[in-house]
Amino acid sequence: MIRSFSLWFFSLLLFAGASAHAGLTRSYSEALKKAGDNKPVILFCYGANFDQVGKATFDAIMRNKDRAFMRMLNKEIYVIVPIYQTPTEKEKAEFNRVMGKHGLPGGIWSYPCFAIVDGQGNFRGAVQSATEMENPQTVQEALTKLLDDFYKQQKLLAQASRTSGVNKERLVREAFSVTSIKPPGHETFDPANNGMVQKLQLMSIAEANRYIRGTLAEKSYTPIERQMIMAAYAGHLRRNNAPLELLRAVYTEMRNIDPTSSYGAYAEGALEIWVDALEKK
Amino acid sequence: MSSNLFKMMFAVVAAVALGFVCYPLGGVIMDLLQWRNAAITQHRPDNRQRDRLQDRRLVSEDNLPQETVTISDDSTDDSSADDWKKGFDDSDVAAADGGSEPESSSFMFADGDPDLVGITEEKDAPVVEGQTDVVPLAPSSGQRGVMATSARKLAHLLEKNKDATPYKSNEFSAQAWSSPTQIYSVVSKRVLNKLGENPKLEDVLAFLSTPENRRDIAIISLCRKAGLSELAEVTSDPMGANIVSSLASDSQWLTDTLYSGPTNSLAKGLKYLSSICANRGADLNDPVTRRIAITTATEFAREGWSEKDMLERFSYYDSSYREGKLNKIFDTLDYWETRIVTGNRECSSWGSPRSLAWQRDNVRLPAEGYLSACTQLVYRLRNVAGDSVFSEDYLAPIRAATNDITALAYREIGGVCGACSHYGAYGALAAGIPAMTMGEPGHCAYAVRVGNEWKMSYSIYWQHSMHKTFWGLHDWEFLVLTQDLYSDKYTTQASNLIADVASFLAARRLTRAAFDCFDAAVQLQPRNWPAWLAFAGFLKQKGSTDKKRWVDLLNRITDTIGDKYHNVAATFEARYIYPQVLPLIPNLSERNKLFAAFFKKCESFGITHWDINPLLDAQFEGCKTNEDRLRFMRTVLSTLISKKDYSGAALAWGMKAASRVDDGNAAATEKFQQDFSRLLTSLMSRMGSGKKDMEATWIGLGEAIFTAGQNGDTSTFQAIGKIALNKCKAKFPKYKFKFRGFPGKIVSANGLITTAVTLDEGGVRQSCLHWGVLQKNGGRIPFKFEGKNGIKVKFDKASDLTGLVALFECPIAKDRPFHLEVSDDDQNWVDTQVNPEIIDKIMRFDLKSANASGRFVRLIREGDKWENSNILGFYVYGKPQK
Repeated sequence: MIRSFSLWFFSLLLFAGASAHAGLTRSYSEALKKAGDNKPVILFCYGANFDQVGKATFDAIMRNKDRAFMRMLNKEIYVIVPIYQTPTEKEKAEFNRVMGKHGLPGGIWSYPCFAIVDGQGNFRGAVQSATEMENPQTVQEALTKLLDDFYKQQKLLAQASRTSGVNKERLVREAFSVTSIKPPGHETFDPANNGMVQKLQLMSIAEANRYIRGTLAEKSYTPIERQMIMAAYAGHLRRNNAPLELLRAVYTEMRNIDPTSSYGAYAEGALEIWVDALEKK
Repeated sequence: MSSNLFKMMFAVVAAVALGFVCYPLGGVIMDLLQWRNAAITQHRPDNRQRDRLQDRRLVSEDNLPQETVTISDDSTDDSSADDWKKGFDDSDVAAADGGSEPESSSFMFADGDPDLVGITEEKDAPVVEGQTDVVPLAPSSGQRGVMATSARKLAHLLEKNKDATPYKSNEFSAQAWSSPTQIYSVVSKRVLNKLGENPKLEDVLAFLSTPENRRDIAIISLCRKAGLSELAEVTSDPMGANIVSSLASDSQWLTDTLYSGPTNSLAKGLKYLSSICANRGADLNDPVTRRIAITTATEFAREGWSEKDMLERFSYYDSSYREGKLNKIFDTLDYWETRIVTGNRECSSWGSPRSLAWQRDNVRLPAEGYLSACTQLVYRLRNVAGDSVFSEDYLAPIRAATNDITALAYREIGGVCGACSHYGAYGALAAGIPAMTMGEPGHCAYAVRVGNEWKMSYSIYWQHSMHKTFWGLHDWEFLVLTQDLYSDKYTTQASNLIADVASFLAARRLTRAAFDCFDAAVQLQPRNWPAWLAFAGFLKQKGSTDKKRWVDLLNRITDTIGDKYHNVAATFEARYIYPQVLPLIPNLSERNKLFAAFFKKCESFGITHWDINPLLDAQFEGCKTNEDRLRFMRTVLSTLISKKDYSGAALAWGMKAASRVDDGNAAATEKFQQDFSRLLTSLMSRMGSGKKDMEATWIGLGEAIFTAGQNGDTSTFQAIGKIALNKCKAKFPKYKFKFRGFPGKIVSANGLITTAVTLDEGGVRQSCLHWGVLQKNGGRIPFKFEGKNGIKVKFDKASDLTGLVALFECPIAKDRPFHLEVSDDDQNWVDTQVNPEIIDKIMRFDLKSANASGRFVRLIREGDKWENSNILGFYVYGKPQK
């Protein structure tokens, strides 16, 4: 079965390779080269031999009759990466042919998925949740958003690199606010592991407020980072029995940064259990 | 001769004829050909003999008409059945650990009249003066070889017939199963008839060579393992009766149910199975649905989990499989492996259907990918809001948004080792791949099976306590043993069948035959842990004071299991053999010889590092005087100190064991402790210090000094530290610190220092450097400050303190205040109220005006935070009190 699937897979590759200008690239290295500084590379990784979902997704996406998705994909540079479970020598060779000496980028949690990397191979996002991968339409929607964000962020960063001072700072800040994933070279901020939570433990409510506002103004953060900073602040307020109005204001501010993110949901939950419920009492 | 030939021909012709009538021809002919030779040699009693014999044995049937279907509840068989599970239960040796009487006693003497049963079965037992409860002489190694060869033929036969259509027979309808007692009687009678009056091993093997006989033995085992009254309860429900009838009609189904793991609470498992059919409409004719249903039902019953959770778990795996959402590994899992998957724990959190479904769909990886899936979670002891992972507030706000999906909630917020390991293991389990979490000291890790090999992930320590076990034994080696046992499928099946016949014969006082069968079962499959347990239980009952038998069993365990599974052999010996055999060997030298045999065979740890403490404890337990204890210690420690793997662990054990000795006489105890201390110092002084031996010495001393630290044993801590400096000087740093000291002497130099950090294996081995921290050239001790846990030093004597200098490896962060506390008793602590002077990596507490004194000091810090650094020097100044 695997052999027939491989033959079929190769014919599909040939077919895809022959069609139009075809963004499909045979190897990851080649794709990175093609991408250069400003284009992304899309990796379509799927389980080639360990579950039916991998194959079904491959069929649904790569062979669907509605060619809209393929048209979109073919405008980009993409590589198909078959993921094997306890691969045979032949399967190892196939994987190595595609990936060469490169490893898969970090940030991939599940197969099948579409991961985006920049020309240097840095992970810049992935379409991989079950909801996103449900059908070709959902994949297309999520992937389109991811690509749009990538281009938008790259453009802002490119502009920022050509300027300086306040303008540069503004552009970088704007670039960071596009997605929750920071471009390479920028360390991810985590208040739980960088000492912020501990520092707050020793502060009064007023000191904490000054410290948090100062921190937020000091540097550029992604929306999720800003929400995490607010979470640290709100946690400190809550444990120090701050007035409920203040707690409501902070959690609301935190939620409104991005209500769709996980920390937006966290803020919403916090409002329910730590503000609304207590007010009712 | 010609008479025997005639009998043989008659037997073969009769059996073939029967095969034509009842069973698929091919398999039976193959079976018969395979066992033709065995049939030639076997002696069978004639029909009249058989009838007389069974009349004596199956007393309960005497008053019953042949076709009777029901038996009153107070019949002999039934009352005895209640005790069956208590005796030779496959979960443990009830007899060996002081449990209730094994079944044979209650079965044979239930009506109070021993004459009612045939007692000629024990005629071949040797008569020992003053001892009536004995087993026959054990076979010689040559005889055992022959027995094993014969038994192996059965395994080959089972393997050869693996693709044959499973034997099926509708002999007992669902209605007939309303009285399992009657069925048991009928089948027992038939089995005894076929085995003959005084069966030999070859008779048993010949008997097991036909599928219908194997089915009969399985039915007997089903009744024995489930218990007749419990089984009757199951079959009182029409669905239950149908299921038991279908189960008993299909040899494959029986084998899968009875010989694929433990069968505790089997009757409850059958009830659960019935519930799956009734509530979920499961079609048990579908092989995969049947596999999922049986394994879920038996595991949930065995673990004592609820029916509701069981039904949900069944539905999850059955529907996931039907929808093609599981990893392809699941398609070909055997029953025992499926039990690990469907019987995963944490029914209401990680193992809940919604969490499993989320991981199935969102953490879809090749099997080996799950080994690193733990890294998908951010490691956070406190979440970004500052709430501890151990508090309910940690996940509370996100629960609603994540629909109470445990895995998703932790992925959003993060977690510590427990959450990370569960995430990895349950990711695999959700996809239908065997995996489990495992505890390590202060840590949680996990294991995933990739191919046929279990691989650890996120592990930091050598001690692993598996969270899913078949026999309640949590060490890693038992997982390896389980894997190897069931992978060797047909040998194990043959061994199980022979062991089941042994139990059946033992219950009928056919002691010689039972003994031989047990012997053959473990000889054929030495990994068969439950068979060894049953064998030991049998031996305990039949020959509890027979030293030779126990010594023989001990040696066989060492030679067979011990060949690869050192920890398994040690566990068996310590738990089940020593308590029996040691009281029979008063002579310490003789005992030491036995103990030495184990370590001669098991020169190293073998599969993995294991805890030798229980084994040595059991050996030490046999020493009743301090003189014996010291002699034993000298022998065992001097033997083990020369073995690279064991030296550190043995020293550590010795210190722990010695510290526990207290025979009520204070002077004698103190003398023992002093003698032991001298012995220890002398033994350690002999450890190698050359280039070749230094590493082993360093590790050994490291483990020993770590134990001394845990015991709070300052003098041993100091003694080991000094020996380590002498033997392994190159391992110690030679810092030339520059700092301002305080008046007085360094009172901590002769003390004991401990850290709040949970050390991994590598950390423990470097523990001599902790001692170095108290010395002028320094050492290294990792630190962690969490609430009242930090760095603690115990002085040799209570002292008046003038100051403390602590030298850190990295610049000291000033984000949280430090506190220095003193105590006289390690219980009541007083804050010195002194703020330290911190300059770069040096911390100084000036205690001159603090009036600080005590036997202990501890350095702690407000709040908590993960800090990965070390202290290199720790010097407390002052004057020892008189």
